[in-house]
Amino acid sequence: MRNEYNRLFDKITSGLSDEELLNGALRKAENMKARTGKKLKRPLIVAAAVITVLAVGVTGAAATGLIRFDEIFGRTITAETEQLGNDLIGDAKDAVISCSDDDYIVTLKGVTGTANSILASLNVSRKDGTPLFDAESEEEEVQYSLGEAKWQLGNDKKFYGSGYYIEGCENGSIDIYAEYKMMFEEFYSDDGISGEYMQLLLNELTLTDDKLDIAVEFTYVPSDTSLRSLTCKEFPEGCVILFNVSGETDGLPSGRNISFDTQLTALDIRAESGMLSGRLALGDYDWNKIVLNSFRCDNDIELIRKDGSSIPVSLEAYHLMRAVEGYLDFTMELEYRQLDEMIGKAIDLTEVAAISINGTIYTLE
Amino acid sequence: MEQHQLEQYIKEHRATVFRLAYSYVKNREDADDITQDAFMRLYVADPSFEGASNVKAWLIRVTINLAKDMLRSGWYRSRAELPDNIPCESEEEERLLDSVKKLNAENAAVIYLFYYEGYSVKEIAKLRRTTSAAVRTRLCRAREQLRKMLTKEDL
Repeated sequence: MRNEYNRLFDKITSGLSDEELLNGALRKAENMKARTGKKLKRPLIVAAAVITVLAVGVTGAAATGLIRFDEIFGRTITAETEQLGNDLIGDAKDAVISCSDDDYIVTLKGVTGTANSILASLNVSRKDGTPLFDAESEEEEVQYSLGEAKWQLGNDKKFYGSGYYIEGCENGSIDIYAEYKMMFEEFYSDDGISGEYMQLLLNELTLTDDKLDIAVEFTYVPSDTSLRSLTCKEFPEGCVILFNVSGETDGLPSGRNISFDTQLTALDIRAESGMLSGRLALGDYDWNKIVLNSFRCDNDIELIRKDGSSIPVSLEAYHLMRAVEGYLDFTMELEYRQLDEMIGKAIDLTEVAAISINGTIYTLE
Repeated sequence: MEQHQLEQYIKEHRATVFRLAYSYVKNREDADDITQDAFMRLYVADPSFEGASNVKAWLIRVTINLAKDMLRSGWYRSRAELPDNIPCESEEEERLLDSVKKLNAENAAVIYLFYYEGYSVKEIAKLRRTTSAAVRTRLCRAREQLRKMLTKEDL
């Protein structure tokens, strides 16, 4: 597909000449300088109005996401999310995983469970004894897929995996991606973000002559219904949200700091991302006349675990807002900032005890 | 930044910036607009670079931000879709283009950086300031979506 794709993109070219592009860029630069009166240091922020958010309270309901790990282990483990950690910790010696594909043998070597995820060691080999893949291959992209193979798990329950993809063999390192999907769940969604699925991530890989030993982590990735809804009664004052405003700013002192009485209504934190919802009181401004291009939260936010360690997160406005009866509802997406820690892992939300915003710690319920 | 320096950067990187922008907004007019904005920002911000790859990485990051800003903007979302005329040589190519346009913007951008620009998963993660796992997920989704769409249309 790569070749076809690249041929297509060869044809996608701009209608502007170099000169037109240069002149356009210079003209825009002049306009920008004239508007701001100075050289831009942080171009994305200068145009934004700064709004101070005053929070008065938070409400929300706890989510009860159900995860059916019996599909994987052949024994029934159905638990509410918050109980999951306890239910899964320990061995699952009786678990059976086999692949019904004619070509492969998959042997489960060991399993341990953590909250929201399961770590399993598997051995994958071919029945005919031939190597799984050519580690010396110089192909840029090699896909070895278990494809539509049906995986039979304990009690003959059907489950499927999209297989594993070996995406590149370079200097002895092999880049592998594998993914599992729960068969009854909606995986794709319009926005490409939500959708409930089980993700299989490879933690360790050992390649022998004809076998592949892998340690994989099954991570439950929740849908829009949050894995855990964390709320706090008292939200901090002084959250700064930057609004990028255009259009008819009737009554709105664009470009200056504006304070609003604001209520943050919910903070939903998920294994890999989160959403912060809130409500701005519109005050005297006629927001129907204003186009809000974007907004973002510029606060220093961290999730605090029970052991005192922290997970920095950043907030980015994603879903804009709608004005209802004098209020403006908004939702922002949280992104975890400590990337190294997050690779291949989900945050154990049962361990999150508090949220720190601009240095002030708020206990979560 | 001197104007001739900007001209040089435009010559070297305009195609990358434009195609990346296109993969987000899926029409030439908006992609041109984002391209102009990206080079305008380069000119105004005048950051110091150690090598050509850093200029490109800077432009890619800015282009991604600009494209996201555009997609989020109220005016963009409320307006009618713009027509686009990419010359396709075959029906198959037309279907591929159609499928690419149906891809979620973020997935489309990741697949563009991976396929066309030849960046590795790790490099894309760095450019997009996200995790390798997240990039892999998007890549996998994008491929699967493309495959599904093309299969559905009996290509």
